Amino acid sequence: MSQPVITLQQISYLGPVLVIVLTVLVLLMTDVICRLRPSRQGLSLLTGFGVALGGSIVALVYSIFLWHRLTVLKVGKLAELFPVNGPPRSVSAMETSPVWSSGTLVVDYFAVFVCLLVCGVLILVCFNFKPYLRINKLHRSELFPLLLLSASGMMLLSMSRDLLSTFISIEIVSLPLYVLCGLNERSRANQESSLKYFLLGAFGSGFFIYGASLVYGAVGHMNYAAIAYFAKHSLESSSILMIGLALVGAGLAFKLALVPFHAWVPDVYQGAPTPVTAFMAAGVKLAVFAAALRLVLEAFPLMDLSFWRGSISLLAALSMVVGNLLALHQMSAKRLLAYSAIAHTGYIAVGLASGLSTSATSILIYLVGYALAGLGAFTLISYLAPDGQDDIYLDEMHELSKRAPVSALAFAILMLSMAGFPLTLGFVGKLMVFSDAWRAGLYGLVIFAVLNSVISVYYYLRFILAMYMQPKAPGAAELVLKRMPGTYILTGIITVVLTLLLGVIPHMLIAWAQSCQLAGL
Amino acid sequence: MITTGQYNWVALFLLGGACVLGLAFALAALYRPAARPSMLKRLTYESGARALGDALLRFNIRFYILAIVFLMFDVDVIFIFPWAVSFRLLVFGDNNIVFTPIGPSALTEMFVFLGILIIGWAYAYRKGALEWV
Amino acid sequence: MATPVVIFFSYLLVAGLLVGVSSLILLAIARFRPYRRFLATLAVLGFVAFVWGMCALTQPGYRLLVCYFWLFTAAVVGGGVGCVTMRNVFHAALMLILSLLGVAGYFILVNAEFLAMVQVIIYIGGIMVLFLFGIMVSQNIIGTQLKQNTPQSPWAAICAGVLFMVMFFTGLFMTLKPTLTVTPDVLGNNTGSVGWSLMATYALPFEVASVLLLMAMLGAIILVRKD
Repeated sequence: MSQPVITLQQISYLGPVLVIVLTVLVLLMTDVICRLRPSRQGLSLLTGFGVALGGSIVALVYSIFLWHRLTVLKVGKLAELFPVNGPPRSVSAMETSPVWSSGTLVVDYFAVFVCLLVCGVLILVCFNFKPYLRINKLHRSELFPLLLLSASGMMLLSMSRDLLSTFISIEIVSLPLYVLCGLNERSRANQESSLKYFLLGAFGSGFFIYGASLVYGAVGHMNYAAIAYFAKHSLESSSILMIGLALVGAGLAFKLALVPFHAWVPDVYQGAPTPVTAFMAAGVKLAVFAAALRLVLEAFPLMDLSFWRGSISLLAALSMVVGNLLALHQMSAKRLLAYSAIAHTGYIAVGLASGLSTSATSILIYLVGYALAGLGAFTLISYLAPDGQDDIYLDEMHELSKRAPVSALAFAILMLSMAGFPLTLGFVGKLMVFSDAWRAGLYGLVIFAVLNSVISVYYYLRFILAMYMQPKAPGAAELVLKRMPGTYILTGIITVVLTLLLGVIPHMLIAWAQSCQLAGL
Repeated sequence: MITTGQYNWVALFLLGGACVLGLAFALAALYRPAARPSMLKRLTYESGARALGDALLRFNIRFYILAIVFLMFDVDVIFIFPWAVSFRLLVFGDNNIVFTPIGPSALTEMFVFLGILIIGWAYAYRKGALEWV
Repeated sequence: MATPVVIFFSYLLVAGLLVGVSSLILLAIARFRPYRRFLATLAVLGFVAFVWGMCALTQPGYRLLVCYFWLFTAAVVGGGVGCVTMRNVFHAALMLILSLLGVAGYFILVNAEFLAMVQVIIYIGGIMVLFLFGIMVSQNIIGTQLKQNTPQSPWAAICAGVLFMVMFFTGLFMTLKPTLTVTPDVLGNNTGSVGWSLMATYALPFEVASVLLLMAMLGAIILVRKD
């Protein structure tokens, strides 16, 4: 009797990913077919935008449907796909352990929630791209397939519980971004950003895959369940496993931009086209943190605590302090957000270091808050940026509150959310992450993190004060305000309203996120 | 672990090839008249067209794109290879082996894999990446 | 049991090693350039003596294996050293090919013939060709006697040395425990086993790999496209 690798029903649980990949294929085929007619120049901007947006909305609806299935069926997970041993076979003594039912992919609350968030981010970034391309006169509608492919990788990343599928998902996330960073071939900054991101990203991937191979050498498998099982049952600690996991962690830290591995962030964030930066800040951080969370909560729990908690805490502390100190005197808004992204990675890593079962909830809420604030802020930057500059500087922002009161107010709210002011979602996230770490006994780290967020208030307030309080210096450059494109308005409204609404009444989001437990082994 | 002897033959073959080559040159050295190299004889093509410039000249960037596309399909082949070797077992299984065969899905998987790549190929073709202008 | 034969071969081994290494070091120093033919011959002779000693000192059944191993090691290490010391970038790339070939040889020694094939087809056939094209499309680095030394090279050497020592000592004190080996080599050849894993356990990474390849092609086309 033969048994298929995956049943149709199991395939349906991968729906969001499949919808996105199919949309990509449709976009590519449309491009191919459009070129058959000599008069047409391939995929037009509007078609690309429409199809991509449609695909992302379908994927969003599908994710909601999967969430609904989970709650109706009252199960922790919908499916374990591709179990360790392939199709079931005759059971021998070794296979009675629970390891062997663990799959390469798992569709649980956590994964579905991350899929939902990724779809949301994707839709908002698509909104951002349409006017961006038009205003900057870029005829680059091929970027939509790239964007969607990257998002499909993010969804897979949240589901994978195997070093190999994690690696390949990270690659799917990163490769399109290398290309997207160099979107505008006329801009030197774009090219520089693309090259730097590619070189350091490839370096990080190299670390990851080398570590994964060492783990495979030690354990004989790359599944998280198998790693946890091995760590529990092997008598002495295996140095090769530890080195392997440390290298895997370094690879992830490269992608997350934790401090010793952060060098690429400022130039890449500043040089990349603003919507791409928004996508990197919101999407990549979300997905890679989801992967890191799964690794920590599923592969590490049986391991020596001091090994991973100490190193993550160290990275978190370094990221917070270095990110915040370097952000203090930035004049460019994008560069400021880049350094603050490093600091935010540090705050989230505090939650990772606590490693409790509730960490998933608090980290997800933090990430939602950060993604909303980041998306909104980058949207406003790309709206306010002068032609050909793609960035705004502090001295251009003086008196902005008089000339563009709504934009200035929105920008101020988003900045406050990033700083973690009460009544914004940023505050809720910070509170939950820090209280988790407190309960895990990381008192010193929490105090350090709180001190750091006090420092961070300085540079966020500096921008807000510039907009509201400080008069324009005579002869300083002035932003030329254009009419705001409709999709920018939409993105701005969505992000600001959600930041405030969920900040004031966070109960619903917390309730959702609380059901986002990892399915466990 | 000692390798099975099959690769010794490969090594022996390489060694034999080198010996034959060396022997041929050695015999030729005994037989041929003494070498008197001259300017004309040192040309790359002694009685052919004259070679201009260095062999290490700058290549057209087009070669590079072709090489990338080639590399894609090279990797593709690497994936097909093990599939082809184990195909019979994957579909029908073997009574002596404990694995359950996965049946026709072995074929489906490969078709999906190739289908996605064919779309990529069509895209490359349409975009003119394979053209030699 | 130190019979005279064993002692002789031990001396041969050590002498070969010393002569080979010292002549290689002298080769790298510019002052000894006039004697490079002599030194190279000496290095080869030292290597032969070393391998001979090694072979003679191992058990009869393993001699051929040891012989192969040191041959491949010579290719890997020689290629690697050549790759970093060659002044001409093109020649450095060729030395890298030699090194990769040696690694393919290692794979064959541990019965991983599929990996050996991948090494030759992908690395030497694909990636190194890409390397060479990459060198040849950039005007300023071909053919010139480019000095490869950068101010950072001492730091790079220190980093590489530390990494090497870490890996060396880990390998030295590593105890190989029975691991959770899941896919026994049931098919008798590992190409078939790889096929099995790809189709069953790693079906998803396999399918995603095709998306990745599609993505890479797409990215390459988009990046180099001229409007």
